[in-house]
Parts: sequence; C-alpha cells; structure tokens
Amino acid sequence: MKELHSSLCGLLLAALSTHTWNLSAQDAEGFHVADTIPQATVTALRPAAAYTGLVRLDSKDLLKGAALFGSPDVIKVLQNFSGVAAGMELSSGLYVHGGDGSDNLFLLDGVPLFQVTHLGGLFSVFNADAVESLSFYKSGFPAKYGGRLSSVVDVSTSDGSADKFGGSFSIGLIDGRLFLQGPIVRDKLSFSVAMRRSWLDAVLVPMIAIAARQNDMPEDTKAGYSMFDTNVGLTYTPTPRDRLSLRFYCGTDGLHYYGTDTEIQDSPEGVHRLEDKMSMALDWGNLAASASWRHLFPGGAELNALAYWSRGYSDMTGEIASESFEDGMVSSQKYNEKIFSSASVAGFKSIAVFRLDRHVLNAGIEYRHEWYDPVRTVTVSMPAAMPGSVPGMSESVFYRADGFSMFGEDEMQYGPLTLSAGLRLDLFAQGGKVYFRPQPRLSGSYALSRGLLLKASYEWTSQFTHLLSSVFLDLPTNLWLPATAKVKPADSRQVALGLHASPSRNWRIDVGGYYRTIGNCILYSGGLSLLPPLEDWESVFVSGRGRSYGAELELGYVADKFDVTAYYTLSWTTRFFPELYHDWFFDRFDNRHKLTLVSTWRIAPGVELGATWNFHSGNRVTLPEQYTVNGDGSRTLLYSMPYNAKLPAYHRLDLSCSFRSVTRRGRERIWNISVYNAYCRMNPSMIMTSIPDDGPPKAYAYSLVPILPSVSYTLKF
Amino acid sequence: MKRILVILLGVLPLAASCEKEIAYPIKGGDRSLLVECIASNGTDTTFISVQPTYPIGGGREGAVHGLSAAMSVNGKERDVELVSRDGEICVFGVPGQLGQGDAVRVDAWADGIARVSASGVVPAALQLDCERSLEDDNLIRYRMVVRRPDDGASRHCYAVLLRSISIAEEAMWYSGVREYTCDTLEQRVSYFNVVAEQPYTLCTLEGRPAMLFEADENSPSMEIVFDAGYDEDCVYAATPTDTSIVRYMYDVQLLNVPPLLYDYYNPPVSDVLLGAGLVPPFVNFSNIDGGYGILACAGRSSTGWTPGFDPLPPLGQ
Repeated sequence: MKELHSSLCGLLLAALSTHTWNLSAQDAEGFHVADTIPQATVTALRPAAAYTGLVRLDSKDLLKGAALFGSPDVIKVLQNFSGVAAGMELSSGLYVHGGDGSDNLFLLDGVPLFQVTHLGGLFSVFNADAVESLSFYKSGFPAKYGGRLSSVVDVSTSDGSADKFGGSFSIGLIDGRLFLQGPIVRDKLSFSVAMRRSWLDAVLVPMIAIAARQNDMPEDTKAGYSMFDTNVGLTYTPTPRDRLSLRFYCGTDGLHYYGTDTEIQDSPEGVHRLEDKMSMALDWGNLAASASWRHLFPGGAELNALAYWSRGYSDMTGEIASESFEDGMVSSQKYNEKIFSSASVAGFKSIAVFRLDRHVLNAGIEYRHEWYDPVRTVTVSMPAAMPGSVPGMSESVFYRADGFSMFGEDEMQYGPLTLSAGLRLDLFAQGGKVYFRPQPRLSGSYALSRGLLLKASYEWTSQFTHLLSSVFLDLPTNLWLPATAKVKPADSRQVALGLHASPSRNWRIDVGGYYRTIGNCILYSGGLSLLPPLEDWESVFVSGRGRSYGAELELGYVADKFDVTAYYTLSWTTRFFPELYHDWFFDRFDNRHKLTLVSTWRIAPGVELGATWNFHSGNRVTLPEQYTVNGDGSRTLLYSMPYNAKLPAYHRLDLSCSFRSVTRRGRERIWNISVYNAYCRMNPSMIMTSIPDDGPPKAYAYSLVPILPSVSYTLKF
Repeated sequence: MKRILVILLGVLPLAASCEKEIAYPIKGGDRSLLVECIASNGTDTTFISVQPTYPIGGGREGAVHGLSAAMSVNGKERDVELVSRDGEICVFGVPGQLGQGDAVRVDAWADGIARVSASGVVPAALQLDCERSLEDDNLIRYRMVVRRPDDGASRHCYAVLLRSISIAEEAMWYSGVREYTCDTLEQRVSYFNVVAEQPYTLCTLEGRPAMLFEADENSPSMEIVFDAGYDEDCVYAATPTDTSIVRYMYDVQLLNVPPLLYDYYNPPVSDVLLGAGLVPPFVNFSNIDGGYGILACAGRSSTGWTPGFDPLPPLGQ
C-alpha cells in the first residue's frame, strides 16, 4: 500500500515545475492518507540552474564561511560568484558583467534602496541574521524587475517564527548583532527584529592617532566611524490565503575627523599661538518602509500588492578655521561648508499571477514618485579686521520625477523546454521630458537529458537614475540624480548562454558566456574636483558606451562532510568616452581572470572549517607614461590613455573555524575564528609615480590590508 | 572641504599603508614630442614650441637630434625658422599673418621619433570692450566686458595677455648736429592680479604670462577685471640741450581660445587618486596626434599699443 506523505516537503519534491500539484481522485487511488493538513497551494520555483544568471541563497548560505571581522556580509558572498568583479579591497562593490557598481537593483522586501553600504563599502546594509532568502540575477532578469542595468539583488527578510520565540546574539571584533523573532499572536501575527551596531570608532581612534604621529600630521588628529542598522518586520496571516506584512529598515553611518595644526609666532609684541583647525562630520544612511499584501485565489492565482517608501540621505559638514599674524595682529578666517543630499522614492506596485495548464502568467503595474534634493552651502567668515560674515555660495537643485511601469510575462513549459517571454514598459517623466523604454525579456532552458540543461536569455534593461560619483567609493559626496533632458537614461542589451550539468549526485558544472552592451553610461569628467558642482552637474558628466563579454565556469562538489565550489571568469570590459579618449579603453575593473575557491569541511560534529581563496587580475589605474623636462628643470608628467596600467594580481586566502556546542540550557552557541588574508599577502591598492632628480623613475605600490584575525561569539536561543 | 576629503581618501590611507617599490607597470615605450602652439590672427609671427618626452617605464634616453617643425596654412607650407633653444626646448617662428577661417596644420618630428601633427581653424576674434583707470600704487585697472559668441558651442574660454614695451628716446647734440635715437624694448609684465571673483588660471602663452577664464554659459557676457603694474613716462635730462625720455606703452589682448586649451592648463590631476583608481581616468587634454601638447587656434583682438596716463610727447627729430 502506498503512503502519500502529504507533507509540504513531499509536495515540493514532486512539483519541480511551476505547476500546482493537486491530488485528484484518480491519483489518490491506492494511496493511504497518513495525515491531513489544511488545504494549501504549493508553488515550487523553477530551480536556479534553469536560469542563465540566477543565484538563490538562504540565510545558512550567508552565515557560513569566512567573514571579514567575523561579520558575514551579503554582498561579499555575492562577490565570490563568477561574472562579478569585487572592485577595491574590502569594498562591497558589485560590478556585474562589466557594470559600474551603481547599476544594481537592491531590493529589501521589494523596496529599492539608495545607500546599500556602510563605511564606504566595507559592509553592506543587509544584516545576514535578518535575511531569509536572496535572489541574485546576473542575467535573464524577469520582467517584474526594472530600473537598473546590471543585476538584481532581491532580499527577503524573515517573517519571524509564528509559533516559537527565539533569536540570536552575536558579538565580534567590530560589531555586535541581535536578532529576535517570534509570535505575537500564535500562528497569526509574528515579528522579527534584527539590529547591528559597530564599535569601529573605539578601534579606529587610537590607530589614527598613531598613524598621524608617525606621518607628520597634526598631533591631535582624531577620526572615527560608527554605524547602526535595524530591520523590523511584522507579518499577519489572518487566513491561510492572506498574508500582510509591514517592514521597516533604518541604517545610519557616522564619520568624523578633527585635527589642529599649531604654530608659534614670535613678534615684538609677544609670542602668539596660531591654530589651524579642521573638522568634518558625515552622516549618511537609508530609511525604508513597506506594507504588502498577498492573496491566494482558489485555482492557483495570486495577487501581490506593495506600497513602499525609501529615502537615502547624506549630511556633511566641514569647517576650516585658520589664524594668521599680520601687521602685529592675529586675524582669523573661517570656512564652513555643508552638503545635504537626499533621494527618495514612494511607490505602489501590484503583481498578479495566473496559473494555467502549461502557462504561468505574471502581469503587473507600478507607479513611483521620486525626489532628488542636494544642497551645498559655503560660508566664509572674513578676518577680524573686516568684521561680518561674507556669504560664500549656495547651490541646490531639486528634481521630481514620476515613473510608471507595466509588464507581462508568460512562463511556458512544453516537456523539456521551459520558455519565459516577457515585456516590460517603463515610462519616466522629469522636468517636462518623458522617456519611454520597452524592454523585452526572454529566457529559456532545454533539458537535453537528465542532469543536462541548456539555457539562454536575452534582455533589454534601462536605468533612469544616475549615481554621480566623483570618487569610486560609496561616499556621501555621491549623489543620486534623475535622467534629465541633457543626461539621458542608460540602456543595456545582454545575451547569455549556459549549460548546466549534474553528472552525479555530488558534482555540478555550469558553463556559460555573455555579451553585453551599454549605452549612455556616464562618467565624471571633473577630475580632482571631488565635489561635483550641483547647479551645473550635467555639464561635468560625459556620456559614453560600454561593452563587456566573457565566459564563466562554476564547478561544485558536495559530499556529506566536504564541499568545494570553484568560480572562474574570463572577461573583457571596455568603455568608450569620446570626450576623454578617442578610442575604446579597458575599464578600471577589467579583471581578465577571476578565480574563487570556496570550501567547507565539517571535520567533526560541531566543528566546521571554511576556506575561501580569491584571485583576480589586477585592477586598472591611470599612470603617466611619459614626462618632459621644463626650462626650470621641473618635470611634467604626461598621461596618454585611460586605465593604461594594471596593479599586480590580487589574491588572498580567508580561513574560518566554527565551533558549535549546546549550552546547559539547550541553546546553541558558536565560536567563530576567522582570518582574513591568512598568508598576509599585501595586495597593492594604489600606485604612485616618483621621478627623482637623478636616476630612473620609480613606482611605489601601497597596500592597505594585512592579515586580519577576528573572533566572534554567537548565541542562539 | 576638498582638503579634508583628500586627507581622508589619500593621506590617511597612505599613512596607514605599507609601501613597496615595484617595477613600473608600463614597460618601455618610444619617445614622443610635446608641441605647443597658439595660431591666431593679429600677430606677425606664430611660434611653435617643440620638446622631446621621456618614457617613464624605461626606454630610449639621451639627447634628441633633428628637432624640426613645419606649418601649413590652407595647404600651403610656410617658412619656419629656429628662434631659440633652451636645453631641449626648441621654439620655431613662422612669419606671416593668419586670418579668420585659415586652416592651420602643424607638424613636428625629430631623429628617431615619430612625426606628430595637429590641425585647426582660426576662429573669429571677439569684440574687445576695455576700459582702464589708474589705481593707487602705480596700478592700471583694466575692466573688460566679453560677450559670449553666438556660435552654438557649449563652452567658451578666453585668454588675456598683457604686453608692455618701453621706448627710450634720446636727442643729443654731437658736433653741432642733433642726433636722435629710439630703442624699443619689450618689458616683461611683472605683476598683474585678477580682481573680480571669477576663477582663472595663470599660465604662459607665447612666452608671456596670461590669464585663462571659462565663461559662465548662463550669462551672455563676462566681466574681467584685473590690475597690472604701471610705469609712468619719465624724462632724463642730462643738459638743457640733451634730452632723453622713456615712454611706456601697453597692449591688452583678448583671445577666443578653444576649451581644450583651458583644460590643458587646468589638468585635474592627483597622482595619488589616479594611481588608486579612485577617480575617473585623466588623459592629457591634448590634440596633438601621436604626441602631446596642444595646437590652439584662437581669435585675437587687441587694444593696440596704448600710452600710459599723462604720456610724454615724443621727442622731435
């Protein structure tokens, strides 16, 4: 007699397609019902292997392995995958298939975020404790995603347990995390709260003071940094067919600097102590809130509605006060500069899903209203001999924009062939200028045999918001501004092919390639002017094109106690900006080869070793190629081509060891010891050119990151 | 604020970093030439400065021989003569005037160095409205209003050059005959200072100090105000019958220069930030094909030689 384990797990295993598996009377013949559960419709997702560029991760994937300073990071995990350049050392940049880092769509429970990193990119805003699941698309984007060119990182946070209270507490070298979850009303209303706070400021202050003393900087130089973020969620399921949720995110960063130069001035009138003071305070972050409702209809249809609001902001205040001694008098001058900027979006979207025999139809609409509001004010106070302040300057821009999107997508299955055909229509209006972008989205897979899958995708994507960055770091000086009549939206076309093979239970092979073009990508042409002019920003950004292509290989082996995955990418990324250079040139993160090995060894019960080895060809920088000798003997450096030099190849090994045990009260505790850059490879981050008066020119490489051990303690309850 | 950001982005990381000398990442390379030339109307001679470059990553060193230049106007070659040589910097002069619309091509080469070239068209000169007044401390204040040309270009840049000459005249009696001499000497302008608030760049054009300005595209005109050193005409009388005077003349020139020239003299370079790949790439704003430097075709207008305030009358012969 057959037994049907009418558990959700069994239904999921049986439904590896998008069909709803309903047990008919004929199917039930000969089966003994072992148990009964309330009626539920189970929708199984197409496996990630069927997509050209999809990676699905859950919280366990994010929390395992070596983590920088013992703090697991979502984006740093994604950087391991093929087709993704990591950018600069320690940063949380995501440069996918030749993207520039500002063209990734980060969604937190469906809400787009503007600021997605802490501390200039050291950590991402995604608290791994709060993350339930994550979908990362490098290609083959479904039609429901839009607004960015290169990738989609769709993060869903935990609903919280509906029947049991629990959580975890974790403390590491530079931050601490607290996660709480549980029912408010059992099986109806649950909550989850995740908080994280760094104490990097306590560590940095003495380090900066020592570095300043050793490098002829003001003795009282102080600099510090702190960050805090929290994720709060409420989930209400009034009926088995309805799910309402509220989500709130708040993340803030604070960076400050202070230094004083002192000079003793002797004069007939006496001895005067002159001080030059510099101070700066930066605060930046992101706030996001959303309310969503999902309703399941009989027959498998569902409706999802989401209202959201997100605001990224940065406030920067700097002051320089200097004293000078002239004509027997001490005079002082003060320079104060404030920069405020914010980008906000509020919107509503609704997606309906209909399931027919061989088709799953998705259709949706979305409306967004966006605000962009940067302001810069400079105040200069004149010397005491000329009392009164002289206003410096004030510039601001304010943009409002509206976006309306509509999409439809049909996912079809005919035997071994799965095909998804969709079309997304985006309308963007700003300042009387309207942009319309139709974006076809095609993807498909064909099962050549059991365990062998051929897949392909082709898509158009458009981006209506630009990140104006004068420095390639995530800093408050970066501004999100909309496409205007002068600065057009960026567009991308990408085709990807892939082959997935699972020759055995243990092995997995994925081979693929992509070719991508980008139009209207922008680049800051202001050079050393670290703060782009606001009122005339459109004139200091140049427009160009991009091209990227490459091949990817992923090889994975999974066993009971050991697993290892190798990710290799061979790629080329080029840019063409005619106002900068007359020909195509390699982009700064054109890493020809990239190889990442990720392994885990469950050496004994409760003991897990992890190792990650990263290698990539050096990032590109611009160095002078020639110099001239002027009439006075001085030398002028000459540059001929952008990104004409490569840093030495980058490689490092990260190790971790986790010890799991159970306390007397039955709570799991984990001690994690991690070593970042275990063999202390001093990977160069920058190169400086020096031309001595006699002798050949020299190059000096500067490396920032030595071996970084860390330890963290986690208690789950 | 920029200073603080440079400290945070450049100085502090450098202070906390490890330094190691490495082989220069760019290997070898052929030497090239740096050519600088302003081709404009309103001058009898066009000067071309040529000097060799040295590859940083190693390569050919040593003296360069056979530095040469050529210039053609509307396809016709003009005579070129070597005017001066300072070390390896050669300055060539091309006699002859240029006019609006003239197509200019400049070539330069040397033994073992590939030929470099550039071309351009001389634009129209701008109308020059210039007033001057005498300030304290022997300063002339010049106030110029420059109207932006209506040529549809997105950027407009101007250069202001100040020239000064001294004319020394002597009238002496020798053996009953009055002899008269007159020497003209170009003065090097030793001081000038921009008074108005618009940003400017000091540079050297045609061997003279010059000021470069970029127009505000939101305004149809631009006012340039600057002070320059002023010498009064003076009389040196040796005897009641022998007289010598020195007179000073001044000429202010306004050049309608290409934005490339402005960018060339305002290179946004920070070796630290470029070497870290932190800022967008910088390339010399050069239009010399195969080399470095700039050929700037400019429209020139001039006040002409103008005497100082209370000028002395010339000595009669």
